[in-house]
Formats: sequence, C-alpha cells, structure tokens
Amino acid sequence: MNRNDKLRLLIVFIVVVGALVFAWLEKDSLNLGLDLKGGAHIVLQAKDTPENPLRDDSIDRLLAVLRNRIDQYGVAEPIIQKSGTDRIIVDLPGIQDPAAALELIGRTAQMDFREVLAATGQNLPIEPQRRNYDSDIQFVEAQERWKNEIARLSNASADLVARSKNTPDSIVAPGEEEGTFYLLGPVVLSGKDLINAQMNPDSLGRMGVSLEFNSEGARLFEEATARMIGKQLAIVLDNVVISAPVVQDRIAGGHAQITGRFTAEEAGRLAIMLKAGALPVAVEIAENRSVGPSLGADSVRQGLEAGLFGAAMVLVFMLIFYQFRGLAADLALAVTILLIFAGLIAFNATLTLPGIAGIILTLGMAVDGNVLIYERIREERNAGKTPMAALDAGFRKALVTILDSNITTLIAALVLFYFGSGSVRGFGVTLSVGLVASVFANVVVTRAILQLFIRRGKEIVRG
Amino acid sequence: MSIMNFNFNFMKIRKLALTISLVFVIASVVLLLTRGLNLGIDFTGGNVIQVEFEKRPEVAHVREVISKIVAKGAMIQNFGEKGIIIRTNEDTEESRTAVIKALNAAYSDAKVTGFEKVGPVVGGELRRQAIIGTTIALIAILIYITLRFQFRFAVVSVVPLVHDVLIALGFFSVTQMEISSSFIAAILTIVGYSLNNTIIILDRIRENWGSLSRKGIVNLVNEALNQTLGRTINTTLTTLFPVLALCIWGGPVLGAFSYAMLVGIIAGTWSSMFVATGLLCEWQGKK
Repeated sequence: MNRNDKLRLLIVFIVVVGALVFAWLEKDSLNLGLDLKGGAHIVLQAKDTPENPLRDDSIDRLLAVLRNRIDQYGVAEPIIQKSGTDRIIVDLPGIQDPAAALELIGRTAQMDFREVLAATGQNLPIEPQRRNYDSDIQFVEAQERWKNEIARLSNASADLVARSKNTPDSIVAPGEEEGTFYLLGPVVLSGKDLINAQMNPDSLGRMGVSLEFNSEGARLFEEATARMIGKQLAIVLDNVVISAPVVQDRIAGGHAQITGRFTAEEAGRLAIMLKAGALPVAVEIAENRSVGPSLGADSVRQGLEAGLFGAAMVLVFMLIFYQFRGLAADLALAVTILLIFAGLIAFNATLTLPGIAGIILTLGMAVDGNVLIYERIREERNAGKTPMAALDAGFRKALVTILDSNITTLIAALVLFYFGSGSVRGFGVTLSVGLVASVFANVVVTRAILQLFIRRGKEIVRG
Repeated sequence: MSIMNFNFNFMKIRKLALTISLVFVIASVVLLLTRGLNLGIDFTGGNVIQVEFEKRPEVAHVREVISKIVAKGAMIQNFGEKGIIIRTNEDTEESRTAVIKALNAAYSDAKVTGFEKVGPVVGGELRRQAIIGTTIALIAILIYITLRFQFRFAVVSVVPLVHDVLIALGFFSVTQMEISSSFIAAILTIVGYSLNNTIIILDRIRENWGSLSRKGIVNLVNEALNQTLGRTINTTLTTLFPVLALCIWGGPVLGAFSYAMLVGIIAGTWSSMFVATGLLCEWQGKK
C-alpha cells in the first residue's frame, strides 16, 4: 500500500466517523420544513400608505414589532425574516390555530384615544323576515320602514363625514356594532405612551385590557379626562371604535381599563399587540400556507416508504450486476446518504418534501459515478492491463467525466438555490449537497474500498 | 450487462430519430399554445383548501355547497384516501374563511388539514423567477461546456435540454396535472440529469477526437455511444427505480413532481443518445 492509498483510507475514515458523530450529536437540529411537520407560512407585504409611508427603516421596525408579538404569543422556533425590500416571511411551526396567529401578526394595532364629537348612536335595525308577519301587506310595510331607517342612518353618517371636513384633525370611524358611526376629535393620547397592557376582566366579569401609561401619557390622560367630564372618550383600534365610555371623573396615575366585546383569547391578543406596539406600516397578506400536522406526517411516511423501496432496488441492482464491486458501490451509497444528512444539518438547511424527493433521486444518480468507473475499469482490463493498473486508469479517466457531468448539474442546483424561494430553495440545497457527497463517495470511498479488496488478493476486477 | 461489448449503428437512424423528436416537440408546443397548462395557485394566485372527512362526500355535493360562496368555478378533487382538495381563483383571506365556514356547516366531520393562499403579486414573481432562473442556468451551462469542450458541443448539449423541458411541459398539458413551484425543481433536475447523460457521451467523443479524420464523425459518435451504452443503461435503470417508486407509492403531494421526473428521464436519455449526437453528426458533416 503506497502513501496515497493510506492517505485516502485515512480521509475516508475521518470523514465517515466525523459525519457519524456530528450527525448523531446534532440529529435534533435537522430542520423539517413546514410541509413535513405542519405549521403556518405567512408572507407579509408592507404597504405604502399616505399616513404611514414606507421608509428605509420601516421593514426593520416592522420586523422588531413582529418578533416581539410572536415571542410574547409563545411559538416555538419561529422564523421571522426579511425577503426582498418590502416583504417579511413568518414561519410558525406546529401552531394549532393559524387563523389566530394571522390575526395577531397581521393587525396594525394602532391605538388612539379621541374625544367623541358626535355619533349616529343607533344600531342597524334587523331586516324584516316574512315569517314574522301575518300578511304580505304588513311585510311590505315593514320592509318599507326598514329601508327608510337604513337611508336615514346612512344620511346621518354622511352628515358626520361632511362635518368632519370642516373640523380640523377629526375623523369618522365605525363602531364595533354595525351601523354606528362616530365623529372623533384630534388624538389626545396614543399607543406610543403605553408601557404595559394586560388582559384583565372587569368587576362584571367582562373581558378587558388594563393599560398603564408612562409619565407623559399619564399627564395627557389626566388633562384629557379633567377637560372631558360628562363627555364620551373613544378608544380607537385600527380606526374602529372599540368602546366609548363616558368620562365620570378625572383619572390620575396613568392607569386605564378598556372594555369591549372581547373573548378571553381576543383580549389576550390585544394586550400582546398593544404591548409590542403598533406595526409601523400597514401590511397585506401576500401568501399564507398552512399544513396540518397529520397531512405532513402522511406525506413524510409515503415519501420515505417510496424512497426506501427505491433505494433498496438500486442496492440490489448494483449487487447483481457488479457483485463485489456492487457491494463497494452500495457502501459508497450509504456514505453518500450519511454525508447528505450531515451536510443538511451543517448548512442549517430545511428538509422539505421536494427535498426528500431530491435525495431519493440523488440515490439513483449517485451510483452513476460507480457505474462510470466500473465500465471504465472493464475497458482497461479488456485492453489487457493488470487489475491494479486497470483500477488506477479506470479511476483516473472516469474522474474527468464524473467531475464534468456533476459540475454542470451543480450549476443548475446552485441556480435553484439562489433564485428559488421556499421549498424550491430547499430542494436546491439538498441537490447540491447530494452531488458533492456522491462525487466524494464515488471517487474516494469506492476507491479505498476496492483497494482493500484487491490487497486481500481478490480478483474483483474481472473483464 | 457489463460483460457485453456493443456495436450498434445508432447514427444510421439519426434522421428518423431527429424527426421523431421534432414531431414530439412540435406537438408539445402546439399543446402548450392551444390546451395550455394547469397552473397552480403558486403561479396564478388563489386559495387551496385541503379537507379531511371521516366519510368522504361526493365531489359533486361539495361543489354544490361551495358554489353559493365562490362565484367563479372552483376545482374540487379527491385527495388521498379520505380527503378532498378545493382550489379557487379568489385570492383573499375572506373567501377562504367563507368556504371553510360553509364546509363546516354542511359536513360535521369536515376537518381542514391545510390551506394555502397566494396573492397575485407572489404568483407573478414566481413566474419571473422561473424564467430568469432557467435562463441563467442554461447560459452558465453553455459557458462551462464551451470552456471545457468546445462551443459546438455546448450548443448540441443545450438543444436536448430544451427538447426535454418542452416534452415534459407537453406531457403536463395533455394530462392537465397541476403545476406548482416544486415543478420548477423537477424541470431543473431533468435539465441536470439529461445534461449529465449528454456530457458523458460527449466526453467520450472528445476523448476519441484525435481519430476524427481517420474514422469520420458518424463512426466516431457510434463508437462513443457503444462504449458508454453499458453505463447509459445501468444508470438509467438505477435512476428510474427510485422515480418509479415515487410515482407509485410517493403519495398525492409528490405526484406531479414524480411524473415530471419520469417523463424527463425517458426524454433525457433519448435526447442524449440521439438528439445531441445526431445534431453533432449533421453539423460536423456540413463542414
């Protein structure tokens, strides 16, 4: 055994043991994609609006607020990252209620306190139904009354809009109940001055959120309540009046309580959103995918079963056609699989369903190198070379072919990685790692194994 | 197979083979232009909802339930053993919520196992990404082969790629299987596989290039094809095994991906053996 052979064996030994130990120690950190373990993948698109124009730092501030909200909501291992210049990707693995999560991250949560200047103050009447009336005539009359009422209400809200135009800094906002509208004065206090918000039921057991202001906010709140005794103070969230209590007394000390028609979950989410702050810009949901854990598990099982079966067929085929050398190829294939998983862990890549398909495909293509080498060795033997010389020449000549063919495929894989997004990107990583691993296995591992066989005197390189 | 030495005159039928390929390519292009592709919501935008039932209702019945909510035609298919999949072109959150609400009202055992919503902006971007990505990959490959071989080889190895991709697209147009973003991955893998095959044959031609003037291009190509035939057969088989397994047992999520690969491998093997080499013979013969 010459120095090169010893070196090769040593390299194979170190790489295999290293990869085994690494993969074993870090086996928990293999990222499974959302398509495999279930969860929600949400892409938010920041919107440029006149009130909140997009600035250079908007996305970074948006990112900070979203992190804060999601952390407080308590999702294990969320991924929150920028994508391009105006998008944010949020991956929430394993969440049970994607709709609630969407509600949490998609809402601007801009909270203001404003004085109520006027209100339509009436709920929308219910549309009459025929079965509640004795005769058609009565029913038609009721419908007539209902239509008039609706028209009157919409006139009233149009009236508010007209008045709003003449009052500086005022807005018209709908109430939580359908059909109610408020004309609101300038902002007296905003969510910026909040230091804490907590879900808190009031004395009647209604769900609410208690607020705590900083000293500036406490001062403003005290001033406003002193000025507005007997008047309504509206609490406005994302331009909807959630409640408009009448100020009974001047409130000092910087504490307040808002009560609306909340469920406990809604109140909890509202508290998180208020504490984490409003989104600096409005967002739109550009993409929203959610996979239930059961569907994910099913696809993994089917993908893996098919993969194992396919791999088994490849192994058997190589054994039948190449016997001893087939065994060497099978061992090299095992090393390839090991290296792929170690590589995926090391690159912190995410294994997706197309990724699994990519690995399965790599198995078929990985033995290509072995086939090339073996066919080459056969030719060299036919040309009359001794086993050792044929082995050497076979590897040397096949190496150029293997490198050229794999590098061209690698180019395609790297393009997938660079230009793709989501699962396509994952596939690109898997394919790239697979190509590099299989070249190493073909050229170095197979050769080390074959050399060992030949040293033991086996005539494995038959014509 | 490694025991045999082959001596087939492949290039004798090169004109026939090229004609067959041309017919397939033209048929695919015509199909693409007339019948089109069934683009998934990744490209068009829209909502997909996957629902599982304990006792799966008829698709027609589900369609009736949905028809009150979704104005435009929804696509409803059976999915797996007890699920159905609903695809609509309406890309709002509200539309999806309404559909789910209606399903829950109509079927007490309906359970939403997953949904996807893609807005219109993302779809357009993905189309752009796919086109830019494929173009860049092809140019990079052309440059690499020109450097390692020669320009003529680069051209004859890229033509089969276009051939394979068009035929795979034609297959998807015939079957109307849905094209999702993972289809791009499948197409690029096909490109990689077919290229791999072509390079190995061209590599052998390059190696024997010295005897070109003595043997002539047709004999040179035939020799290379026969020398690499054992490898071509064996590798095609070892790659087909896992892909066939994926087609048969891989489950509905991987279905389109697996079939794209299957068609691509068959087209890719054919095009490496006949299209790339046939073109090289014709081109070199002209000189």
